Amino acid sequence: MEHETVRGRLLYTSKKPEIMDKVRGGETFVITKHIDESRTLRAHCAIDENSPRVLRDSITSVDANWHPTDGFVRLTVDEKFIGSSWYRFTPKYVECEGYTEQEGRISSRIETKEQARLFITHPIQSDAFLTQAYDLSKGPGEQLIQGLVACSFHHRGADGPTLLHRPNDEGFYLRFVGPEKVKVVAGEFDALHFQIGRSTDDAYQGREVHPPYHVWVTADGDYVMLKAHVTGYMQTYYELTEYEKRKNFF
Amino acid sequence: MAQQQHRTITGRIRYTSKKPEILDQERGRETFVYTRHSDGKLTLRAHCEIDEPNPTVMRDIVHSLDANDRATDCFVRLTVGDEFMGAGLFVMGDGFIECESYGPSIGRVSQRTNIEGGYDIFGTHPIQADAYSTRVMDVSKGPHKRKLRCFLPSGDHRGATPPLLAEGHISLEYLGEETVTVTAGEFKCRKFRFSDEDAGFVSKDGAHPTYDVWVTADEDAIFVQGGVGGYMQTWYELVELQR
Repeated sequence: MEHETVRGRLLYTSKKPEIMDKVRGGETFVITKHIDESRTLRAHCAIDENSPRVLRDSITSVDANWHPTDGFVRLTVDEKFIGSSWYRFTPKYVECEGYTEQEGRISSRIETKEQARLFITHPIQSDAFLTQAYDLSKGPGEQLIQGLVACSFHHRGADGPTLLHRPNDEGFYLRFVGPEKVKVVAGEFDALHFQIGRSTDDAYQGREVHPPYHVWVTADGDYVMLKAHVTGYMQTYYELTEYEKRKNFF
Repeated sequence: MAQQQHRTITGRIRYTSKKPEILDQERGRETFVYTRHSDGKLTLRAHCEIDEPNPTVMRDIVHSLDANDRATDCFVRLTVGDEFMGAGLFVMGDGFIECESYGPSIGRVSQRTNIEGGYDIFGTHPIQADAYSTRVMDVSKGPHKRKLRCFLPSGDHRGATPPLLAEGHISLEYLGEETVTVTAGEFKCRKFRFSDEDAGFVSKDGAHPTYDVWVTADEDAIFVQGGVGGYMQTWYELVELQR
């Protein structure tokens, strides 16, 4: 086989004073970069910290231009199955077929002007992939990213999974802070520092707006999550603790 | 802080060959993670790579079963020869299985098959899934053999066709207990044999060759070692296990 494989593990910890730096979950992922430069990300994620405790499996694929082509999300919340859904992306529409405990068998479709740009499925490594939508040739700054589809807009992705998009394709802002050297448990890396979303109010405790979300991803074109920090009411921290990149298999 | 209540098992299986020209050489691999939920349900995720024979196969499976080991849903994604072959979801209901699938060679397919009389296993092709399916045998009866009605996301022996619902029949024989030592350690095992003497599992290569598997003699039914004879000449061994 001629593909490339990246395997990693992310540790989820907390920055809340009462559980400072305690482990609150984790994620393992395997990324395949095929010879046609399409990629498949498999992520298995567990969020332990209080209800809703989430166990998520997500397998998503993108083409050589990072546009989503197909996906799958399966969720248990508080140890109960809540849904399992499959997604397919075409240049004209996105479709979802699945089963959720709340809605039963679901079939839905969203018409799109062109192939969707991003598919939000909530693994932390999947969030890292969002940052590839930023045009780095324009240097540090802020860009509006549109063409967004999600399986859930819950901040933990703890409902659905269904097919959702924002009214009027309102998108989200992505800020590129700049290149940095980053040292994490998995090693020292050349990184790109981004902020997802426009909020800069770390003290804001509301849930209507996603708190500031800083992410550092590898600068080698793979966009592997190195570390991330969400402030506000979430106070979550994520760090890459295992990393392996190989030609062919893992 | 609340904690997840499930149990997790992870493992890695090495695929080798018994063909004389590539004897004992690695020809593929599989990693699996399975979750035994606190309500008795089970989810198996497997990532499998078959390098030999050509064309290569890469398979991702997320397969879930209820507390009685009845399949509830299954996702399959395949690349064959490092090209996308297909992806699909199977949803099992009372008396039917649905399939929603897409592959370049089949286009978009929606299938719904009504099933009269039930079935024994939903065979998804990872080696660990084969091992877990042996739980369908009542080992309290001692060594015995019976025919299984199977549904599959591919009737191909390597599972190397786009996800579509197929039906097959295969015999499974319980042969007794043995202690087996492999790279991952020493295990008390149950030995089983899949056989296709009635050609109920025919693909382009004919009937399925005899397939011996040794699985842990406990409720987890973890694959320890096994091999397929005939035209396949494959061997599989558990090399890592964590539970």
